[in-house]
This record gives sequence, C-alpha cells and structure tokens, in this order.
Amino acid sequence: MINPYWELIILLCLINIIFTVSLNLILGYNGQFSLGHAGFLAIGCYTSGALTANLGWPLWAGILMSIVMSIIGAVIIGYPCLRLRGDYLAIATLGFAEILRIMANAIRPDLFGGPTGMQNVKSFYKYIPVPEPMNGVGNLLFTILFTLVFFALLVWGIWALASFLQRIINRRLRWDHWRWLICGLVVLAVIVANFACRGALFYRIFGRWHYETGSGGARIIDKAGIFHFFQALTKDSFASPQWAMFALFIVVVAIVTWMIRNYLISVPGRAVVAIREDEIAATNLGLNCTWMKLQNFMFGSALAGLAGAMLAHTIPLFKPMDFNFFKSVDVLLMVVLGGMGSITGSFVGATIITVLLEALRFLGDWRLVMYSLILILFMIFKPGGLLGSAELGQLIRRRAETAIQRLVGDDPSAGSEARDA
Amino acid sequence: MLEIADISVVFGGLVAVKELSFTVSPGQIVGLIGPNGAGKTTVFNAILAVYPPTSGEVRLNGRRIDRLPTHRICRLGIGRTFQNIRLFKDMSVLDNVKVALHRSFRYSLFDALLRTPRCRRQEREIDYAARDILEYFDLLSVADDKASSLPYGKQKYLEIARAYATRPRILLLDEPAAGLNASETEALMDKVREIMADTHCGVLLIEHDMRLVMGICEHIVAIEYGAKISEGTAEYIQNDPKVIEAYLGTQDEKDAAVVEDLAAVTGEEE
Ligand SMILES: Nc1ncnc2c1ncn2[C@@H]1O[C@H](COP(=O)(O)OP(=O)(O)O)[C@@H](O)[C@H]1O
Ligand SMILES: [Mg+2]
Repeated sequence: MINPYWELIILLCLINIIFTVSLNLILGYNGQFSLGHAGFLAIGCYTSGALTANLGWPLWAGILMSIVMSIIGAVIIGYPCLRLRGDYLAIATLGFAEILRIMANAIRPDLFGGPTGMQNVKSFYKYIPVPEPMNGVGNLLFTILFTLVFFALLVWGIWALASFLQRIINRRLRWDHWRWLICGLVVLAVIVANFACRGALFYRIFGRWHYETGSGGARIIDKAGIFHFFQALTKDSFASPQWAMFALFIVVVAIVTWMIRNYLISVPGRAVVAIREDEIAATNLGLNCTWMKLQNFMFGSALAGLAGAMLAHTIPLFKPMDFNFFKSVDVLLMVVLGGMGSITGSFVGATIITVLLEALRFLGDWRLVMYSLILILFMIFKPGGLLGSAELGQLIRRRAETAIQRLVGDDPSAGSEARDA
Repeated sequence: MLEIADISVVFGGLVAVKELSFTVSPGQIVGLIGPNGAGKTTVFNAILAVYPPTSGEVRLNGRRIDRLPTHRICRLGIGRTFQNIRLFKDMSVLDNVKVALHRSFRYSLFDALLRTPRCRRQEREIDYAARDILEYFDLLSVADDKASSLPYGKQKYLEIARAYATRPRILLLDEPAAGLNASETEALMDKVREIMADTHCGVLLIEHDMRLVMGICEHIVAIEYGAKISEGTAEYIQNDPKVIEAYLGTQDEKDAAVVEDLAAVTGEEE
C-alpha cells in the first residue's frame, strides 16, 4: 500500500497528464490559445459528479456525458471564434470559464452544491470490483496480463533497437531490411544460448506452465519463470484496489496517448500542425481550416472533459473556486514547461508541476510568484520548454546516434552526404 | 479554363485591381507582368478569394467560383505558390506534401484515432504518393529534413511540389524565379513546362524576369495600378510603348532592371 496522500498525488499526476495533453493539442499543435481550459475541466467534473451522485446515473454514462458536454461547450465557443484568425479564442475561453464558474456557484445548489461544492460524488473505489485480498482467478488474470505486457515490451524493445541500428547502418550500407536481420540474429542468439546451457535459459524465462485449479483457485506448480515471478508479485503487492486504480488510470492515459499519436500521424493531425505553421498556405492547399481547428478544439476539449470526469471521482471534494483562472494558468504552465507540441513533454510538465504544487503548498498565495519566476526563467533559458517540440524517444535516439557516431569515429555530416548520394 | 471577368479589388480607398479580364486555358501558360505594387499578387488572392473580388466574376470551366471559400476553390482545381515562400517550416519535407494530399484520401476521424486498417492503407498510399511527388521534384533525398532547413532553391521547388500535389487544373505561380540565378531559373522553367506537358494544366505566371516571361509565355497580360494596359503575345508586349513606359517611370531597382531586360530582349531580336 502506498500512503493515501501520495496515492492522490500520483492519480492527480495522471489526470493532469490528460488535461495537459488536451491543452497541448490546441495550443502546441494547432497554435490556438485557450486561456480558460479549466472551464472544460469543470464541465467534465460537474457533469459526471452531478449525474452520478444526484441523478443516479451509472458511472460510464456520467463519464460519457462529461465528454459530450465538453464537446458541446467547445462548439459553442469554438465555432464563432475559430472562423476568424487571431486571438479571439483566448478571450472567449477566458470569459467562458469564468461564466461557468459563476454558474456553478449560483445555479441549482441541490444539483451542483453551490459555493461549498460537491462532496457526495462516489470515488472510483466504490466502483472497482476488486475483492480484497484478490486471489484465485483474479490473481491469475492479473498474472497473465502482466506477463503479456512484459513480452510485448520485450518484443517492442528488440524491434526499436533493431530499427535504431538500421538507421545507423543505413548511413554506410543502404538496405531496407537490416532490422529483420538484426531481430533474426537476436532470436538466433537466444536459441543458441539456450542450447549452450542445456535449456536452462528458457526454463528461467518461461518456466514450465503447469498449474492446478483447486479450492484455492489456480496455482502454478512450477516455481520458475516470469509467469511465476509475476504471480508472486500480484499476490503480494499488486492485488489491491489501489493498484487496480493505478492500472485503470495508466490504461486510460495509455489509450489517450495512443489515440493522440494516431491522430497526429494522420490527415487531420497533419492539417492541424500545418494550420499552426501557416494558416493562409493551408487554406490555399484546400484545407478547411475552420473545420480542422474546430475539430481539433473539440477533440482537445473532450479530453479535458474526460480528465474532469476522472477528477470528480478521485478527489473527495471539489468546488467552483477550484476551476478559477489559476487552474487554467496551471495547465498552461504544464504545457509550456514540458514543451509545446510534445506529448512526452506534457507528461514531464504535468508531473513536475503537480508535484511542485504539492511541495510548495506551504507558500500559499506566494506560489503564484513562483509560477511567474519559473515562467520567466524558462523564457530566458529554455523558451521551447524542456523538450521543445521533440518527443522524448526522438531526443534519446538522437543523443544515442551522435554518441555511437563519436564512438565509431563517424561524423554525422558524412552520413548525410552518403544519404544524399 | 479559368476566366477572369472584370474583377476589381478595393482595399479601403485603394483600388488594387481595376476591372481586369483575361483567361487561362489548359495547356496554356499566361504571364502576368507589371511593376512592383501593380496588383499582381492581389489578382491571385482574388482568384482564390483570399480577398474576394469587390466586383466582377471568376469562373472555372464555366462555374462561378468567386463567392466560394478559398479551400473549395482550391479543391476545384486551382493550385498556387506564394511570392514569399510559405512552407510549413517546422514540418518535414514529406509532411509538407502530405498535407496537400488530403483530398484524394478519405477516412473518418474515428479511423484516424483508432488507426484502423482502412486508415493504415490510405496512409500508406499517401506516403507513396508523396514520395512519388518528391521524386518528381528531385526532393526525395531530403524527405525527412525540416522544410526550413532546405536551401532557398529547394524551398521553391517544395512549394511548387505542394501545389502540384493538390492536382491543379490551373497553377498560379507568384514570382517562382525570384532569388534564383540564371541556371536555376532555367531548370525551374523546364520543370514548369514538364508539369504542363504531364498534367495538361494551365499556368498563370507572375514574373519579374522579363527575359524569362518573354521566353516561356505564349500570352502575356501587363497591368499597372491594377488595370490592364496591354495584352497579347510576347512580341507584341515587348514592343508596346505603354509597357515600357509603365516600367520606366518607376523608382524601384528591380523594375529598372526590367527596362534594361526589355531593351536587351528587343535588341537580341533585331
Ligand atoms: N491586404 C491588403 N490590404 C491593403 N492593401 C493591400 C493589401 N494587399 C495588397 N495591398 C496593396 O495593393 C497593391 C498591390 O499589391 P500587390 O498585389 O502585392 O502588388 P504586386 O504586383 O507587387 O504583387 C499595393 O499597393 C499594396 O499595398
Ligand atoms: Mg507580388
């Protein structure tokens, strides 16, 4: 068990990652200023909170409605503003968020709790059907899941390494299928190694998957291999609602990230970045810029709504003042700190600021001074944010490439010449 | 066929284009010349309704297009380049072309978000198509570089490649040779001719380099202060005193060079 205080911070980090990424889509990738992004968080929070706690809706419907309401809000604000070029959106969203906050204060206190906020929203824990202690089939399922993830990561890791090596080798010797050769060699090496130690290697990795099912649930007999390792792990520490909660949040973050990545490498995503770069050129290439911007704004707001819904069922209490202008500044800071136009940057920015916010809580309102200081320092020393517009993977790869080149004594410019030829 | 009929563009009190008419047919290359500030770029912007014409009509194959939004006009088959290069600087060369290829491929946002097989397949086709286009413009070796890292000449090619990717029936080129040296200009114009031969599109060309315009354009429209002062074959234009006069009065260095060019071209012919 992790102490509930840290647990909350970890969950808040994960929620803030979604919230930050949602703003990054709008601000970093499309270049549109949304200064009232907390408004969409509030929509998500209050919609799911009020529907599930006061109107008896099921959780999934509450979350779905949060997303739908955020999208509706995005259309109402976005449609008139995004037809124009310029910073109208910044002002409109700012006003929109304030109006929402005031409405939450004044309208239907029986539904939205008024200025004191809502305390009766059920936490995710009330919904997570994990028996404690988890055992039997549940334990087995978790074990299988962990094992699958492990092997997926292993395969992906080998593939990524092979792709990386392919780029390096390609500079000298052009062939499109180096990576297959490398993967094949790795597999071959493992098999040979297994022969060399008379099967002990595979036994260590896979074990022998014999298990019996009896009164105590499924149980692995053979005490070797990854599977058994994960079984021991799930039994002792992961088999709790807390870990189920973390797993749930991580899965949501992973799915959201995956979808954003898909979005960015397809037609609408490229269009959105093109509009940031040069809207006039984009229009003259036949892009319907208004629609593309609106669609992107709707997507970003939907994610903010999702983050809001998750927030509603995570924190014990929320009130209108939680969604004031400073909340919008918080998330702006997370985006700018991490790097506009970098998803992994948003991860870093959201995590750092969330933890920092907690660490600096004792400062009270002086926190805001810290904000300005951080922003100013970043503007002076690292105007692009921590990662700029690159992804963490790209940066690591680039570093590794130059390092290897230095090792091999190959200078990068020679490589690019070879490629040009 | 692109028909421009009596269009005027007014900015506040300034009449940038005044009752201008001409046509561009497929397979034809028309030059649009005039001293700096004559309103040439504004004509392009009027055709694409970036600044919709205040009066008059623009027709493409008989269909009136001047009240449509810009992106619709482009989709009907008008591609353009810009006088000051407007690339998507932070995107890769390949992505610059891919952005322009959006139209021939259709999948929903849902397909994109979930990366369905349909999306994958079309993305692969987009990739092939974009690489083909880059190869056509000799840019394939720099496909993964940032657009802003290209040398000036290649940026010009990339901009044309991007316009070409929208499969235009009429291509509008705004001073494509500006800033290029003689041999680069020659190569560029060969490329333009090649594009015309391959796609049978019409080209409307704004150019300061008079020698180039005279060499490549069958038909030339000369404007001054937004109004047409002369129109006809290259030979006719270069002997038209009104054209020479329009360039003579100017203080602009580039325009002064044009006068010399004109004289030189005329001299060579004699
Ligand atoms: N958006 C605008 N607003 C006001 N005036 C403009 C605008 N665009 C162009 N003009 C004016 O219209 C005239 C023609 O400009 P332009 O078409 O760019 O000339 P050029 O023939 O050199 O391309 C110039 O006097 C310019 O100042
Ligand atoms: Mg011009």
